[in-house]
Amino acid sequence: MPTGLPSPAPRRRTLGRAAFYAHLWLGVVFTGALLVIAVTGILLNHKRGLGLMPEVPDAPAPLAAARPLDALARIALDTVARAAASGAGAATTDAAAGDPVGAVDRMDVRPRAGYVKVRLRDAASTEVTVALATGRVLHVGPRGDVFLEKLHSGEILGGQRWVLLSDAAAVALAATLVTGYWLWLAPKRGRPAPVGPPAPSAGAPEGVARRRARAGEPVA
Amino acid sequence: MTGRLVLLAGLLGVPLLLLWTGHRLQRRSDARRAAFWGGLTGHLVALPLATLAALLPPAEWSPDDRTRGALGFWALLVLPALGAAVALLKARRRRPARH
Repeated sequence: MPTGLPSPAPRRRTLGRAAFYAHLWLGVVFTGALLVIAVTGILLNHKRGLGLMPEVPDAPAPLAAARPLDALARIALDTVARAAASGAGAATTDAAAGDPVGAVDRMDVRPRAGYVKVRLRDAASTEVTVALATGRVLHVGPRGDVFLEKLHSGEILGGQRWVLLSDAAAVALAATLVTGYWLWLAPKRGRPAPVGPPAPSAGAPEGVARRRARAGEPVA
Repeated sequence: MTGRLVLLAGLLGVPLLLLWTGHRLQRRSDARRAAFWGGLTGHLVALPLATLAALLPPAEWSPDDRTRGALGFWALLVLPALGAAVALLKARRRRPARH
């Protein structure tokens, strides 16, 4: 009785064709995006070794002795302004000229390490590490990994909407992997099992013998 | 905004166009085959250049950064177009010599 559904063989062929074109088109279209995501991912994995994230010595002190956040932010901004004025460092005077609320992106307080990382809103994501209790500047420099994270996610191109590009590339990669497995395994599943004992190894290799048998050529 | 649109066109549009041009390539004319290979070569050269320009230095680019903008945003669109144009011209010059 006809069911209206295609028989398994044509359906498998259609699926195989769809898998092939999905694999090809998604793989080629998202090559550029995936290349950038892969390279930035590797660099982010080794951000300390590559010097993209500084190693700062601890300055342990009781949290109760910490200076107010506003004072710590101003110490950081003064340090960057001085560095910019003397031409040392990549920081711009624009970031340091404003008030802390406008110039500072975030302040990452580490009570156990005894310091606060003050990150500025400039192109290089300059970060000043200041001791919580003494106000001593422990480190000043750009945070390259912040830029790489934004590039990795696509956010660098103009906000949260561009993360969708990175999402699309990830979905394409997953689809390429799945279709790759399908293209590898589906033909093996559809192939009929050989009848009788395997041919002796003296003649042509098994794969060649099978191809010749299928083409109607002599197998020996 | 123009830079981002150019980047999208180069990053996703050019490969789509190359796939469309490369479909059943053996049945196409010499000129179209040449344009495909020229465009593909241009795109393959542009990809590492754009990636390096995007990463080095690891800081946000500014509108004044012309070299980085040209390589990171425009190369993906311009180099394939340039490659296709050069290959097309070469193919057209070769054609009279055959007859």
